Amino acid sequence: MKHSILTIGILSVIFGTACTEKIDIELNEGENNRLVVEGYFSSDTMQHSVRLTRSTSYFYNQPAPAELGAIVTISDGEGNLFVLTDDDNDGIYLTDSSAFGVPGRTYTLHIKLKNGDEYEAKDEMLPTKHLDTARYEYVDEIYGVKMEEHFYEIYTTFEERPGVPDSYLILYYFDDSCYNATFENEILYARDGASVDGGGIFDDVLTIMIEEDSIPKNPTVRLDLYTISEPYCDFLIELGSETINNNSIMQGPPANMSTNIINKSGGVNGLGYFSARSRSTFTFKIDNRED
Amino acid sequence: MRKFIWLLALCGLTAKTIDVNAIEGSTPQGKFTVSGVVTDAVTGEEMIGATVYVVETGAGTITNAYGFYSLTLPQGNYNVTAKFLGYSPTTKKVTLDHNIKLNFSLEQETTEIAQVDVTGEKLNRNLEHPDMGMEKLQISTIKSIPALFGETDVIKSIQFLPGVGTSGEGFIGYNVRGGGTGQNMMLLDEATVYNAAHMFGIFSVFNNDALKDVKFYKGGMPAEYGGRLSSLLDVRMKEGSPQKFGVNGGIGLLSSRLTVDGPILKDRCSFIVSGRRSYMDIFFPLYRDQIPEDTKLYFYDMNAKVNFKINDNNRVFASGYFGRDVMNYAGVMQIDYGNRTLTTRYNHLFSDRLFANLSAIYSHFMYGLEQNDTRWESSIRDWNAKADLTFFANPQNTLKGGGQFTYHKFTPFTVKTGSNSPTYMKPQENHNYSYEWAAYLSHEAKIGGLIDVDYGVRFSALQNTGDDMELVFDKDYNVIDSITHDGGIYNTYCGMEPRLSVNWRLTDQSSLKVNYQKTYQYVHLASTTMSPLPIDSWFASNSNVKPERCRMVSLGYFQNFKQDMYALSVETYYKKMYDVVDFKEHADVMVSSSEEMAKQIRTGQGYSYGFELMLKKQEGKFTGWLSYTYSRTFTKVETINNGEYYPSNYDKPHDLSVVATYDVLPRLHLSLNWVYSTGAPRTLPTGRFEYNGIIAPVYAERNALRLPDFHRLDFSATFDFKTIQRKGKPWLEQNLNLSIYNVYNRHNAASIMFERDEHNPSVMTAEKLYMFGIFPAVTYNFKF
Repeated sequence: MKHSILTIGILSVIFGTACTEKIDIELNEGENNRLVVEGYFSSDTMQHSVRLTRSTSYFYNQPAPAELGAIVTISDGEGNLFVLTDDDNDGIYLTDSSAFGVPGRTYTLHIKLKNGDEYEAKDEMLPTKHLDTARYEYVDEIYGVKMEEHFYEIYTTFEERPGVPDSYLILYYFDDSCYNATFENEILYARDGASVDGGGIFDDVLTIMIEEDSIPKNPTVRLDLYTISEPYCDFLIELGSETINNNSIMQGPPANMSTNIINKSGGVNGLGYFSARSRSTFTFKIDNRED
Repeated sequence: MRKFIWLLALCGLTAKTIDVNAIEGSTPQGKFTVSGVVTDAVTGEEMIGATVYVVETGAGTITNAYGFYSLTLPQGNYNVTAKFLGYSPTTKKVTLDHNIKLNFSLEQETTEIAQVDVTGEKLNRNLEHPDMGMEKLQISTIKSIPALFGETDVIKSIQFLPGVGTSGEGFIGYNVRGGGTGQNMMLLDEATVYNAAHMFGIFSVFNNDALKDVKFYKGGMPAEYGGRLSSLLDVRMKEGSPQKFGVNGGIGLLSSRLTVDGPILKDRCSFIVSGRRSYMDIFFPLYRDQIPEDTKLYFYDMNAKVNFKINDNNRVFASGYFGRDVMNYAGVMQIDYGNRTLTTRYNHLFSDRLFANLSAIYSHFMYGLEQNDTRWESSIRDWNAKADLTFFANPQNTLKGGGQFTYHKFTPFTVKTGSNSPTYMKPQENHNYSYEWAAYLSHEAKIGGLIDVDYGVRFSALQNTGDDMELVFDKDYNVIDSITHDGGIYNTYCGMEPRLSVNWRLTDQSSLKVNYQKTYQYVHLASTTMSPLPIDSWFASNSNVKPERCRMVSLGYFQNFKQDMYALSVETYYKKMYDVVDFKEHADVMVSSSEEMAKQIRTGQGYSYGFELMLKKQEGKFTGWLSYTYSRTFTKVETINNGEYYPSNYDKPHDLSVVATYDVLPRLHLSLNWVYSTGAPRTLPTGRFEYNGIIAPVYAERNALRLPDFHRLDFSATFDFKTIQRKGKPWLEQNLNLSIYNVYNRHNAASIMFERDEHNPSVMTAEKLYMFGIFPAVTYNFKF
């Protein structure tokens, strides 16, 4: 059961009583050695990657061990097969650079490990969305209250299928540097009508509020909008709630994340996710701000 | 069904002990009734639970919630005594050759501010009555227990009782015999209090100065009560003295309070008004680097009551509570919430033995969140009508019956937008309506002088009504359809709730008790936090969420020693719960409608069992109690933990409390309490994996690990200043209370969090969050 961050916040601020301190805790870690898949296949023509690692005990405290020597393929059910190879022997398996996916098809990832175990994952690549326009506002006060931090609020309009519940992953690049590539800032995933921290999708408008000091001055902004499957969106939401938004009162009790990595040899399923997604992009510039 | 038939059979057997003529209202031949009220001689307040008995025969009764008693006896001469702990017993001679009104006015044994009493009633009441699992707390007891910030509190006192666990240190949430915090009914003058929290749970809404009587049932719930699975906290407000004006209050570290009471018409009509206001925001400038200007945090509340005695047979009461909490951050965001209750009651004596009460009650709880010129609001409103009849057939038999109707209006979500609100916020409103009904009949019988039986049955029902939309799910909880209702009743649940308590007096100093109860709960609390927060969601049963149900059986042995100076109780129980609610895995807990809530909720079953021991010292300079509980509680929900049983969030096997007060000098009293419990269960990661640069947890089973064990010592010293006299009578009583919370400054873990090392992203470390270190406080109390 997680504690209310609201209550903790109030107590720490008001009374200065709530504090944290390091603790040694026995987690009954036991054996943790499941296959972990982080795989992406998109509509872009590029080298697509599938990273294979192993789960570890919680306090393993080293980079995740790579799964080497696996045979990895992606197929689209239309007779196309993409073979992925781990040329650098680091557990990252890549297609060749001419590979691309076609929206509307379901892609199947197949993995055969050195020990003979086989895993499979399927995901549907949904159609891309056309991004129309973008505008931004500089925000330094809210209802007359000057804020210490200043923000850019960016609004982007895009083509939306009325009445169809779509899910998205949104990545923002400022001068080619991805703002949320590692999910350390925010994972901007959303469903129609849903809000997320600092932004959301409402009808056909996508919004995000970004702190001015966290991005370059007068940047060129590129917005990548990935249409993703609903189960993958669920996975991202779960990943966010178990890691970045941990201890929020907005979430339920902790639980394992869903996965589409199915063990076809009858053993325990893998962890992580293989996602097929389509991308649309829009670029604009944030001009000099008059102080 | 078999159990119910058995209960009816029991009714049939014991009914033979009731005089049929008596039920019809006429006096049985050769028998007459002595009845009246027992009051405090100084304040004139009626005393609840005072014992009235006939010295010659030992036959007796206790006063009801309005201080009324009735005894029907054969013609003769009797000495009738009224007793209440802390008061001098009063005996009156009566010649009973006709029905007699006999009121008692009891004098307090001391004129100083009352000190610790573990129970306010006759010392051996625990042996004489079958109401097992019930504790009656004196307000003076509550005030004597050392408390966080020096703010003594009813609910925090309850947390020291066996079978009652704390859901979070320093907070008012509590768990009773393996039940959730939402399974506890809290009544303030019969009005339901859905959320008793001030300051997000550090204080409760119950203002000690305005309270007269506190009864807490963790089992053996009488048939007249229902609506929650696990416990009942029945709090009654003072009526105010009908004889003289009084003022009392206190000035504390974080809040102050003031109470005024007195007669409006002497001996006929009285009032009480009591208010509190916190002022912790005055300390904010000291934390200016952390807290922006224009930040506010305060609460206030007010209790008020007026009663009017029309004549000996008719009396009316009106009481109310209003409270608000406000937290405003820099004028940018505001959270506010609070309760409002209004209770009107009419007492009527149809005869000396037939007592009636009619109540009309309104209860309202709301919370609001305001930001960007947009206000979200959620509320619960109950309109409630009750009728209760008590028939004192004779000293051996009392019959109770009545009914109750509640109209619930749940408003899970409304959005109101101002002109400056972002355009994408669409105004929304969502309401759900339901009727909750109950009727009950119970019989208290004394059989052969050694056995007391209190049995009855409660029939309850819930009906969903009004315009609504319900979702239809398949077995995997996928939405496959929706049903729209256009007014009228569209769903009904009902059930029988048999109740049985038996007390067998083994000796003058010991008794054996057994209790069985079935309870239904039609409104549910969905919460993810340890202590109830205002944003927690209440909702009524519907087509997708059945009523929660519970069966509990308990057995107890009670032994008093040394002329009732010591009281030992040993109780054991087994409890089975059905259709208890829990959030699904990865639930979205901020939902805006009942149909959205239905998607997030899963139901399952649970069981708990336990052993409780309590040893009290009830009299002398040194008083207090030691309580120990061993208990386990488990839950099983189909889609959680692979459908296997897991320890409930409040499963803490060992729980020990020591509460002690020592009168060092006549005017210096020391108190301490020490608590210990097994650490609360938590779902913590056992493994991890990397995904897109972040470290994600892998969990084993739900609640498989525990926080470190919890323990804490608190201390307080109270010094009574000499009473200031005026015209030979006490005029001003004052005391000063110094309390130290968490004397040895233990950092008890409230939760465990995991942090990534700033320099080496592969390294994770565990951190515990603790809520309170050592905290001293001073409070000044006065009473005119």
